[in-house]
Amino acid sequence: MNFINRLSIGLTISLSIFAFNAVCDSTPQKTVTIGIVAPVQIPAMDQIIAGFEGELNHLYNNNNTRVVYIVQNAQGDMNIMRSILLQFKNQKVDMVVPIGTSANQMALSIIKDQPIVTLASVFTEADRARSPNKNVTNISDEVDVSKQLAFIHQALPNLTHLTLVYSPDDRIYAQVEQSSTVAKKYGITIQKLQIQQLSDLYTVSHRINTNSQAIFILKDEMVVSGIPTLVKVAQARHIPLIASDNGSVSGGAAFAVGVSESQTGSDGASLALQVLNGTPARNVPIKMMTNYNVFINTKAMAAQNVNLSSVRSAARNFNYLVIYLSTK
Amino acid sequence: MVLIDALQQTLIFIPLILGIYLTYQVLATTDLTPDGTFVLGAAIFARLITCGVSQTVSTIAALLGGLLAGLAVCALQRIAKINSLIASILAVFMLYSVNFAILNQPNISLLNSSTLLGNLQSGNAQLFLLVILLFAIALFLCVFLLIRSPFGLIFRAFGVNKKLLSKLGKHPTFYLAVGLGLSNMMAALCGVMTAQINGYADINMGVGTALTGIGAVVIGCKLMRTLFLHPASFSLLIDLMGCLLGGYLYFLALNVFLLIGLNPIYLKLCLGLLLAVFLSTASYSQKSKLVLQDD
Repeated sequence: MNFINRLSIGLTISLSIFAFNAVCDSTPQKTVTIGIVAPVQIPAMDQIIAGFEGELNHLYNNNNTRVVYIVQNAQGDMNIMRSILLQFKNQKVDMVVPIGTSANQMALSIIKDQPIVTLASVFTEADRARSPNKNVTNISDEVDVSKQLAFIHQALPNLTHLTLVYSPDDRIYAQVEQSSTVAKKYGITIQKLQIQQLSDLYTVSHRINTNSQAIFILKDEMVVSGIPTLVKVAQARHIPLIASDNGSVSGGAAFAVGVSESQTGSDGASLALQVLNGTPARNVPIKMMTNYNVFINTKAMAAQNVNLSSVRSAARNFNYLVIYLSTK
Repeated sequence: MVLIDALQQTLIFIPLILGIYLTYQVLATTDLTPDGTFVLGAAIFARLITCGVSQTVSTIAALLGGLLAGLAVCALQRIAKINSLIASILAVFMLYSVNFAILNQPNISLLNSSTLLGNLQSGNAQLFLLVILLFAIALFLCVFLLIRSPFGLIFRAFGVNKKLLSKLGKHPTFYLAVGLGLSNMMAALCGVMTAQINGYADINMGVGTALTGIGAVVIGCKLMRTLFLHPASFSLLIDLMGCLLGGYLYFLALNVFLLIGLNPIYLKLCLGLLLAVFLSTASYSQKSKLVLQDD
């Protein structure tokens, strides 16, 4: 048998095996690509993304479809964010998932033909109705300050002077404005201290009034980044540091009333699922997170002179789930 | 598509890059104020447009805001006798408060407002690119004609030899004021364009803008001069082409790195290394040209 004959037989066998495999594999996998853009690299973003991916993988039980996530981080740079969104547009990803308000605003300007499912943005049904690009839905993780202050009032009934430290973040600003009005109802006077950059936090922390009975921070990325500075002040003065997210409690705050970051991601996944199942994003209702948790750090509570039973009792009255965390 | 995306991003930044060229290369002064005036332009435009003022008036007001900021930096340099770099850092510092006061909140969304570039971007991508391309060419021509004019010659003299200006009976402060005013006006214009295209004005949107612009000007001009000119000679056209090239290289590299899946944490490190390679290669190619000429 010459070389040509051997080659022909070899090729025929190979092609037969290939054809057999192709016939047997009658259900080829489809791929759904989801482009996620996070504005900055902080633990909260990682938790939101992990919650989103985990829940969507769990919910989307379609054996013929594989979900591929492209996660990109803009590192706080507007130009990088724009490039990422343009690439998602050109790659024709099946869904764009921006995290936060500015990422949502830029996505709405750039992405026209792909559905947008936004996580943790200030974007209401009214905003969608006014927006020229309506192919978007959102899970809002804004914590209602009035509910937070009601809880704080019940957990710390003797509180009359509270210091609120905040940064010029868009969603924080509205909450700060609201807090003064609400606090009056409970007989609480709020001292508002704004930082413009993280390096201001040390100076500002030394401007907390001597009669202040607690320090309160919102879900504020900049302030949360400097949580150790406020923990030191709280411990030195034996007053509680009250936060609005679980990360801050792990960072040394006494307790927090808020929503968990991974829950934000999970709730966003349920909106994404509806879009993947064929409902246009414009028809998926924008959701507000209402399942509040109370995150407690018992060690920090002791150091900051907070009565654990009082906080637990308030959580019971408000029907909030209590989650215990330790300092990392 | 990456090439077009990079071109689009460069064209949006052209006013800022040309403005920085005026101060950094022509007047030979370091001005970081565009970090603040970029936001100032966007803030004035966004605030006015959401108050129902027309786009034209809002844009003119934003340009005037940039001009005034530039004049204020000139006053800091000349009247308060503060070093140019320190004066611009001070100006950025103060502009933060001014921008906040104008915005009245950290972020204004323009998604519900009708803006020229926003509408073009939503409607027809090709037309949008064509409009910003034509606008960039027009701006290019304006800067070219300005620097080629007798006024521009004195303007250049400011950067090369200020004492000569005084001997010729010209007032250096006047030329510095015009340069800084124009440069910051162009940064404000870039802010207006960016706000329209991105759909919002934000208090933090200017971070690093001036450095991106200075990087584009320095790298582009150095590259073009080294490749096409003797390092000591001057060609306005080569310089202006260099500004475009510098900006384009920056955005192209940014897009390519993202496309190949580089972790954005390392983006700026890789961009810097890539540009260093470009500059180094250009320098070696210039040296080899000179050796050949000597032979």
